[in-house]
Amino acid sequence: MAPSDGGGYNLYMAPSDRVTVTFRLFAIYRERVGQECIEATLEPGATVANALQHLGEIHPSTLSLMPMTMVAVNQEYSERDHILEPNDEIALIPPVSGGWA
Amino acid sequence: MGTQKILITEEPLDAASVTALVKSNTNGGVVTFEGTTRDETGGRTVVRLEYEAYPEMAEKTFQQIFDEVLEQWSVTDVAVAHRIGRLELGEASLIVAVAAPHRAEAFTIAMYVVDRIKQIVPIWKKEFFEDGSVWVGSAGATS
Repeated sequence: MAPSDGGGYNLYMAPSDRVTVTFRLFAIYRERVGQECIEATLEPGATVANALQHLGEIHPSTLSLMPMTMVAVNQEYSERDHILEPNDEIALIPPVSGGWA
Repeated sequence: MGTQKILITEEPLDAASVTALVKSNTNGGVVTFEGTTRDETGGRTVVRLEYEAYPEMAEKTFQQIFDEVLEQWSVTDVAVAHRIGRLELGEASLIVAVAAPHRAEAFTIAMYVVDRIKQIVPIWKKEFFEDGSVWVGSAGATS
């Protein structure tokens, strides 16, 4: 993450503090959104939960899928409170076996 | 040294060639599981299927399963092949081959690998019916 208080260049520094991530969408997510990839810019310190909320605001058709969804960050399953880094790849993974027994 | 082999492909799968990957003189048993596409689900007639993978993560999670097998059974001769794309009825979607010194281990590990694939490998199946379609879980046709 870029330094936020370099002093005097806040107008320049502030945008770079934001976290740009890429969503990868598969199966039912891909079909509902109509895209395989979406870029999003989130607030510094954003979590997986924040990212999902952001996606749900842009594409409300995904909201009903989210409670059953696993999330992978950079191809590792991650919890909802995981804090995102710039350029993270967030994949939404609907249940791969019809449920998580 | 064993064989750990992962194949994700749109081409038809061949159980014999996946099995051949894990055979060796040090092993007394080979178990090969072949999951095939079924013509019926929940009383509805399936007419065809499509499989979709998150390829990079699928490779990682297959490798994770191999690591789990190594840790629990010290067995390294495991190969998996998963088909993606469009499949017709009766075609193989998943092949798992496990070779181990003794048959009991080979059976146990094969079951373990198929179960774990269904739990953690990000591959999805879309079933097409005469009047619609639905996304469901991964390939292993274990039931």
